[in-house]
Amino acid sequence: MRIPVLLIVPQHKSLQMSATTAATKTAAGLDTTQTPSYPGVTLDATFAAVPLGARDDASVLTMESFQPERSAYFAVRGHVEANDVTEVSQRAGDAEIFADPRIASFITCGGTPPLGNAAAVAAKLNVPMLQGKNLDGRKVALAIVDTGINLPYLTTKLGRQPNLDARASWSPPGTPPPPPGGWPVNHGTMCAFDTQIAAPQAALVDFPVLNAHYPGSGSYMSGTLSAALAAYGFMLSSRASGPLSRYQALVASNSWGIFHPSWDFPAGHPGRYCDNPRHPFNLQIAAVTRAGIDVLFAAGNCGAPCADTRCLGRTTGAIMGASAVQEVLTLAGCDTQDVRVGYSSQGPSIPKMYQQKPDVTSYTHFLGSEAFGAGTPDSGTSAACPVAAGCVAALRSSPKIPPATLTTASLFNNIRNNARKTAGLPTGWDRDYGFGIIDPPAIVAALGL
Amino acid sequence: MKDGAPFVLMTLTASEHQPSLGEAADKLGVSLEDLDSQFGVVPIDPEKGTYAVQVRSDKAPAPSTEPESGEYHGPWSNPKIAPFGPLKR
Repeated sequence: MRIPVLLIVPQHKSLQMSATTAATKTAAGLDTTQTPSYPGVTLDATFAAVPLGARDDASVLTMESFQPERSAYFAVRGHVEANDVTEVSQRAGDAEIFADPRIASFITCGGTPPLGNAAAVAAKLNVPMLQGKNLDGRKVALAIVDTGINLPYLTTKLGRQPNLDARASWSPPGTPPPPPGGWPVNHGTMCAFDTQIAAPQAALVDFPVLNAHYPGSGSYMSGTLSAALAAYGFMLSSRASGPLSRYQALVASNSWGIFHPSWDFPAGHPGRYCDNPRHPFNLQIAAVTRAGIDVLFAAGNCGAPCADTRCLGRTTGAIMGASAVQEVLTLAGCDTQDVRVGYSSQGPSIPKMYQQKPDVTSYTHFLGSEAFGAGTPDSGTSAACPVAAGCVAALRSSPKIPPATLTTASLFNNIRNNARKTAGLPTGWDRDYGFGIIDPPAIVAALGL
Repeated sequence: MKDGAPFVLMTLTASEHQPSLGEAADKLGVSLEDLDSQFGVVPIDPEKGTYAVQVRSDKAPAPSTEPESGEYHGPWSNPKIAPFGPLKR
């Protein structure tokens, strides 16, 4: 096999010329016909020599010693043919041989600064093409099922006032909540911002389930599942005959879930949620999609190697509950360079639930809403989900594909089948990316929009 | 809620129409005061006549989670849920 190596070699006129040229010409290489040969090594003519100075004596390592005409040693690249790396010699003539291992960029984790911004995400999704076809979310309601939306903040960050349908929004019963759009700036506002990248004309509807306080429910900012159950009950009824019925389509974005089975009933309990397709919320979500509501869920942040601490180190079978219901579209996360973020939960799902999750991947970890402070990224599969929900809302703004004509199941199949594969991904489903990265132009072409 | 007792999540079936809170209480064999009136009767799958209610844990009927058994099922897990992203504390 071919094993790449780096050689440290003594100075030579051809090396000096190569390095001098490389200082001003990025495409410079190495004239291997004029360079000394090194037994067993084939030099790489595309790799220019790199001056290393007076390598043996650190006391004379000055800037001048790295000038090509003064450098005593140079690095060049080549390869060795061998059956195994252990067969590679340490020397080739007067050259020393070193490994030239494959390297990769550092993976994006929770504390990584933002990579790209909302404009970069819009470019990746080809939003201008969508808008050129009036696929911008118009006539579509987009429910943000989260901590609540802060409309004034959103207006400031977007530079325009987004559409918010307060009448169609859900307010948790109990203690008087703020009005729809009046919640503190938090996770829900980030999600709302992210939907606007692809669907600026969608009507946001506020479903602050994570701030609901039913008797006996959870602490502040961590509601319980019954709040989501109540909210989706309202959504079903409203879509059938209430304020949500006037929209051409309804999309629901869900960037929440449970982080560990210990939050649930014990394993084997018949009333358990996380791995039980018969749990009422999992049944309700399936019914909601059958009613023509496009439901998206984030996969979760329990992926290796950068799982959220709340995952307690559990990174397999980490997609659980409604995120593992077949009828929803489940989102993994990648950065703006199409690289999976290191916390995005990987498939397959927890046993007993639908296994091929996530379905597709969407963008996250970019500079967007700055809801958590200046310079902070919109992160988590939490951001990936509403970015994709905006894409779905944009597609649904086409009069050609109302839910009565193209069911949620059919639309989601289309999204899976037209997802973009990054280099090295297998055909079909993959545990990191699902069926690939969401690709609105390909879906538009496939649907003839 | 009375006496600070927590509620448990139960489901019931009603084929003809969405039941009122009183009708739900009858199906569960509990009194109206034992149900969470703020939660109400929540549609799960109206086509299949499935609805959810919350019942005082100390007044809840005997557990029933077998798919084909009886008019009600539960108790069901009502776990804490949280955002899959950062939060302001």
